[in-house]
Amino acid sequence: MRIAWFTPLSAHTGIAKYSLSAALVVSRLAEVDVWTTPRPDDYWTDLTVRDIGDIRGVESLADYDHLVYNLGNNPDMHADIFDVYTRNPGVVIAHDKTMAHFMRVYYAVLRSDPRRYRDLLAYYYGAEVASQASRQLLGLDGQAGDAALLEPCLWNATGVVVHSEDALPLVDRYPGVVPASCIDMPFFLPGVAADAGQDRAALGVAAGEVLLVSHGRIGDSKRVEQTVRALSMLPAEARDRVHFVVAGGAHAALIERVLAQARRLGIGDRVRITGFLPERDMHAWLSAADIFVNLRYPSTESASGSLIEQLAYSAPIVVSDVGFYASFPKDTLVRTPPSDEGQGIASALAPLILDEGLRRRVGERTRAYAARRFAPALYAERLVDFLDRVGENRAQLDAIDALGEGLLDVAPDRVRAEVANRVDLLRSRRTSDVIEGGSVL
Amino acid sequence: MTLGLDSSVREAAQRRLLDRYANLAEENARAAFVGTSGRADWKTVVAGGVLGLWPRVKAIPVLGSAAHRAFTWLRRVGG
Repeated sequence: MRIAWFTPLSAHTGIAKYSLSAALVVSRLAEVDVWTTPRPDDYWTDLTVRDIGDIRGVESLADYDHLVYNLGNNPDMHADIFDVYTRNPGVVIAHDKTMAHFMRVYYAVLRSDPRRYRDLLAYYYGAEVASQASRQLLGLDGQAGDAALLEPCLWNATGVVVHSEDALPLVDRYPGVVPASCIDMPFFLPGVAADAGQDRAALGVAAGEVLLVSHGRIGDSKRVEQTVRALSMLPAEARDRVHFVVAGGAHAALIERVLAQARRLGIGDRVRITGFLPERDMHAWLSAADIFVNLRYPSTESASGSLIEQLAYSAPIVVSDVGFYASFPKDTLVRTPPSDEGQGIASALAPLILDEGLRRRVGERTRAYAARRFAPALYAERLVDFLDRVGENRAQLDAIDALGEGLLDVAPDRVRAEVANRVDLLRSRRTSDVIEGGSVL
Repeated sequence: MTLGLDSSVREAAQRRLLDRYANLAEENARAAFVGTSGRADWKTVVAGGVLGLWPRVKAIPVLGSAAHRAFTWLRRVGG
């Protein structure tokens, strides 16, 4: 089986880590080429890497049995992949439960075609939602509501993969026609030496401090402000031992807001935001962590790459009881109410901060569970099985799609004939006849 | 053409067919202009645009919204 694996490789997206790990394990069962738009911060890989810019037509991809597209809600990372997808059917791995931001930027900004964005919303969700979206684009008070706009990622899909059961209904738009499956992500194995940077003193963590780490690209949904508030609510003996590090980049406004909040609450010296980190430095923080904090609300991802990454380490993980996180057994991840503003998070953190033995027991139990569920070999086996199923289904899908494409010839034929007649007619007239209002368009 | 689909699958197949019609028509209209697809022959439309006939061609009622937007694109890039 030959697979073209379309993915960003940039260190600025968590999807690249997952995707490379996945492609690598699948390459043990199939021949995998990675297709990407090269960027300066790309992860390195042993796999053959090809440039999306070199695709000259369908023939460039004709030798593959399956084209696999990793699509996510970040237009900077996925617009090029979506472009290829719209012209070449293939299996979509949907990393997010909403593509609203991607579609808005892709059509309204990158393709300078806000009307197409509006038309998409009208087609899938109705005129009212489209009208609201138009107002939003114009900077007025419109809201496109809950329109996830995942649908454009499905119409050219031969199969769809998601990473959590709660995302499955969102992509199963053509049951019995386009196969859809939930396959757990594989572990991302750190690409740096296991003993790299575990010196807590070098990281600025004092002896006796309990190190809490959140990591990845930080946005509002990761609830860093609620976490800081929770730290201020801890009993004094726990609060005075905490060192909270946000390892990753965030918008400047969010960073300033969080740090100002920490100072205001009297814990400014216990909260740090590192900004974007290279892989080796990130690994140092993850391996030094005593507790991970991985909150999410609202939950818009199909799964959580940062959680999968944390599961490869030994610390217990405090999460929001929602989406992918809620699919774990109760005695593994430490859950908090999704919309909690601080007290629930503090209640979950306090016993872990105060009891090293509890941290070790919960962490080991969680890691043992994760090692079974997210085993890379299991992922590869399930994905290749799914691709086989897609292949078996392809004849029926091609027949259905051929009917749809046949319809396309109807309108262009009429347009073609009509325009040809008009152009001939206009050519026979004087120039002044084809200039309107004194201006040449 | 008979696909032999049962009723539950038929509904999904119809949805797929309509989605593809709605999306492919748009993508093909654009692809034709940048020369990456040969499905729809829009050369006469391009010729009309290049000749500066946009106002008249725009008024042809049979042109669908995809063609209108293609013309908008053409005009923007200098047609």
